[in-house]
Amino acid sequence: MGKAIVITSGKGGVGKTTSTANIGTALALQGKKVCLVDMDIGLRNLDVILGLENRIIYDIIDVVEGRAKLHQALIKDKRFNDQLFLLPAAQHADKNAINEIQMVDLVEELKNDFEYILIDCPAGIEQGFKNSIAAADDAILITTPEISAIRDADRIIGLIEQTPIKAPQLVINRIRKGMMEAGDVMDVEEITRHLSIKLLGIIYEDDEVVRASNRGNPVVLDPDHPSSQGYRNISRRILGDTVPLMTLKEEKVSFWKKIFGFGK
Amino acid sequence: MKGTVSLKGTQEGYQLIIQSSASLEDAYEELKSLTSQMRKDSHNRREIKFHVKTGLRELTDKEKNIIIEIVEDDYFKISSFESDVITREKCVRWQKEASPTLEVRTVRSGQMVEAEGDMLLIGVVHPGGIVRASGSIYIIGELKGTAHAGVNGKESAVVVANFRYNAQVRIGDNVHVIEKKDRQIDEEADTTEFVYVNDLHIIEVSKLEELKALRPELDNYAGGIYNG
Repeated sequence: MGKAIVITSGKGGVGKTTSTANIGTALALQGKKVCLVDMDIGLRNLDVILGLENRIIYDIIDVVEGRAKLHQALIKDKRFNDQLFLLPAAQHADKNAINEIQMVDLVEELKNDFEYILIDCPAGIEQGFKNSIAAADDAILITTPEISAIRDADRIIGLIEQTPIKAPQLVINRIRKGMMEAGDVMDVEEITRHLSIKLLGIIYEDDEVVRASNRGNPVVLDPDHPSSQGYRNISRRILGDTVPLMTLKEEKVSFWKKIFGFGK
Repeated sequence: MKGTVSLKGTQEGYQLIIQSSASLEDAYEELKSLTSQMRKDSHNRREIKFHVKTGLRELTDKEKNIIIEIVEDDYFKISSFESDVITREKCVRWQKEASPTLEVRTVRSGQMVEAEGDMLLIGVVHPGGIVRASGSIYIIGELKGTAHAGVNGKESAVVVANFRYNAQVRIGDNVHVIEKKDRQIDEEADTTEFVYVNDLHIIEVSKLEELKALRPELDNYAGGIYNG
């Protein structure tokens, strides 16, 4: 029986879809069988980031409305040996085309075949959000150090508290080391304390994320980037490993030298 | 029926005691004869005030009006009614108003915590979170959102909290915005204060030491029931 995790943020543009693609890929790299579900119906992106855009034949609405079987709509990522699948969103419908009950049934079906089901939640707190959290067992909350994203994250935690999902876990994305050290933005500890939920991981701002996503290759495939390491750490923590946080105190360069840079 | 109504003079004034075991009809009759007798007897017509005690009987407003009609004239007045009992409805309402609601939680953005009567909140009110109470609000923790005391217009309500963060306080219809522009001095400003509406209907922040002087009634009901 698999576990469904919703990846949400409230605010748009903080990296939900990128994080879904990368955490899912990292879990697949660890040998887990993973299905990514794109719930951003009408504005789908997850397929683009995974480089699977052209392979979509059926989508989630086709499944819900009975035009296709679930296994027909699932897209296999050929980079992994039957480990990573995507259930794409429909582009021609909107968020109201599916309801919570249908979503729960769908995810229950997926749980029979997959160990992890990652649900990419759309921005906002409307129907798309409700559908996404309805079927989830756990939640990962993405925020950036910006106050607007933190405020929205706080709202989302409040909404998730009213559901059977236990406390969401926090991922702080797009950390700019310089700004955080200068005190221009709240630091990791402040954000975590303010939101008072468990910290799952941090991701440094990294141009390579955009570059990799544009090529349709999640950045996590290439281990030589701090963002990739961040996502790998998150996936290991999801699997129950204890991984120390990439701390801000350490110099980024020396940190990487420590791991990969001997002799360089 | 004799003895259903008795007149008693005490230091505080005259008391009309209506036996709770007697029927009200009998009491009315006896009140009529008693007062007419008194009218005859009293020669120097000066104003006399009566305090009506009804023992284990709670009178309705209608019954009170009948008694007022019987007793009152130009000189006889009824100052107040008193009974040893209160209705269940009144009791429950009083209980709600008098015992502070205890909330131990984080009030997040978009959440609203409401209470009848006073509220004691232990936790943090995040920006965008709202606590509302028809009475006063006491916060142990941090107030970064909105606290609205006296929501039904009770202007004597207060908000007690540590106002070291940006926040908004409302009492009744009055709004006060707390802005700490300089975050650096916040550490030193670690004192609990209270917000109240002063005699000029202006909302004001004051030191906790003044609370007892400005709102002496606040601790009246702490622990134990009194007859309201």
